Amino acid sequence: MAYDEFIVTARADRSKTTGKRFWYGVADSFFRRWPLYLLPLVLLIGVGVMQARHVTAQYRSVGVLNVATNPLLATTPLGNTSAYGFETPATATTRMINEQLRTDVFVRSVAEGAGLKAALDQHVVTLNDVRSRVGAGSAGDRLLTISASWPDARTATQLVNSTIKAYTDHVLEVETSQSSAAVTYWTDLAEGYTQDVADAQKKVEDYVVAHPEPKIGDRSTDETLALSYLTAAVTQAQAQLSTTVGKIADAKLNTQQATSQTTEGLQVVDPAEVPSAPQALHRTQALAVAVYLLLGLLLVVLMLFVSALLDRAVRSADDIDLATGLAVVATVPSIAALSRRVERQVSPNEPGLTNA
Amino acid sequence: MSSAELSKRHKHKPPEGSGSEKARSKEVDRLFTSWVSPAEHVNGSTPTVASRSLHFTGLLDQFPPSLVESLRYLVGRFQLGDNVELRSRLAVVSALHGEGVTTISRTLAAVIANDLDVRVCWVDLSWSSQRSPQALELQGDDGIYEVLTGRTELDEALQRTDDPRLVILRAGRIPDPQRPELARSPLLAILLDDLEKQFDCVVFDMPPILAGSAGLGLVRHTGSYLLVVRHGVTTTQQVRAAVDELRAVPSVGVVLNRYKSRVPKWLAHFFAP
Repeated sequence: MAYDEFIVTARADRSKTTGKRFWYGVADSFFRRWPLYLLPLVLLIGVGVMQARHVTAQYRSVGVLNVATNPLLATTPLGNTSAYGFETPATATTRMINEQLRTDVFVRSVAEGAGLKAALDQHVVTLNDVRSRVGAGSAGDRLLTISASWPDARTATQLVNSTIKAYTDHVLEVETSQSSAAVTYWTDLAEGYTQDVADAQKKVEDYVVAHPEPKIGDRSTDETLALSYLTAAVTQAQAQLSTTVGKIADAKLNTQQATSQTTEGLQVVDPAEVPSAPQALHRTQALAVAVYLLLGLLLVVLMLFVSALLDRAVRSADDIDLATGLAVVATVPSIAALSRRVERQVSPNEPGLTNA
Repeated sequence: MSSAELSKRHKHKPPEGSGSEKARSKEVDRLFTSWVSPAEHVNGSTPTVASRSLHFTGLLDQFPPSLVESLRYLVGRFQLGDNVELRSRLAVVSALHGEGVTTISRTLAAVIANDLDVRVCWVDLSWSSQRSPQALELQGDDGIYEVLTGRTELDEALQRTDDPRLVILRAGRIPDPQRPELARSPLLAILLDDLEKQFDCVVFDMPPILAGSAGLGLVRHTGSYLLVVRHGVTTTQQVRAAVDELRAVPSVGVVLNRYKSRVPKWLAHFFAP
């Protein structure tokens, strides 16, 4: 009769067995207390199942954009080369839309554009609800999709369109910000210059009224000089005003050009349509269960590692060898454990075991 | 209880699902405490081997075969001289209570007597330990205390077993206050010297080293020690502490007792060094 438990192998290289001893400890800990370790896993799977049961049907709406160029990237000195390497216009725009979706301002504008302002104000819907259900993804070098899922089909469609509009507005705002500022600046100046012209003209008129032209002969030299001085002031004010008006026109032209470039660069290929049927629930439900399953597995692994690290009990001959340097000269199996094995292994024809 | 009855009891399989490990352990414990008939004393002489011819006493059949086989493995190493030398005085000791020293020492004594065909005396020195009720009952027999106090002779205190090559010497009815004193008595050393002269091997059932002072007081009477470590219970720190305490005595090695791995065989082989 020979059992593995009786065999004491020669001492192995300690440096090579330390890792295996640890993993053996992990396995031993698991098989000794497997109900304890499986309990959190089962509980978390149960939570996942409960979550999956509460998953509601979602309508998914998708819009497709064609990005000829990325206006924002075009303004950078590196063109389409981002800090992460070369990006296609679709990839860059997708990244930017998803980045914008992380900001509350952008998400709020998307939600309000989709008609969810009242729900937001009443805290029926949160910004995170919107954020988690809207996203962008590239579909090639120039195409990108913006999708939204919502229990209501129309809201899902509105979310997609609102996201497209919000991003377009964002790009326009960035692109036209300088020219818009210039328009504002020059417009403010023009108002002043207009007043200056009016004032200068009024002074001329007042002077002419106060010093009417003589019926006989010419104006005196002093009047002529004063009048020419006032007339020159009017001319100067009008020239300033004229220059300013030109600047305003240039700034407005720039705005128009930027707007045109942006709208040409971001074209809606397929507008979002109202979905006719909700998405299949199986995938969402499976995902919910899988997430909790993964969490449970991570927890079990953590518990096993902690248990193996904290367990100082002697588990093998190597433990004694490492602790004391003494060799294990015999290993006595647990009586109960071996009795079961003997009952399983002994056959009537096996010599030497029938008398056991 | 006769040997045949004991053998029959051992062969009897418990009904399916009726015995927990604790119940089995108690059954084995009762078996160990009744493997000697107290009435069968050696009458005035040391036990001698009547014949050197091969004969089977059936004593080892009374022990669980797994236990016997494991200790036969150890004795086999004694015979091969595989870095393990069997001395005439062998102490079986542990770090803590409940590690199986009494079980291992008794079975080892029986295996040595049977397999090496030598005269063996099993001596119960663990009188300060927490004993099972059965062991406490048998402790009431005449033993070391009665011999040292002159109430009986050594030959009368020695108890015969089914194997004529194996006798046992119990602790006796030692009053609690006198136990520490007895452990350090010079008379005890003389008694153990006498036993060494009469037997080829004397196996001591020792009290735990870390559970009191008696173990260290008694270990000086031994020539070598065999450390029993209970698998999954004793910590490596406790084993190291016990070995440190016993550093003055040569070590035979360690017996890993009650080994029970839940790891499946295929997985255990994968992790084998």
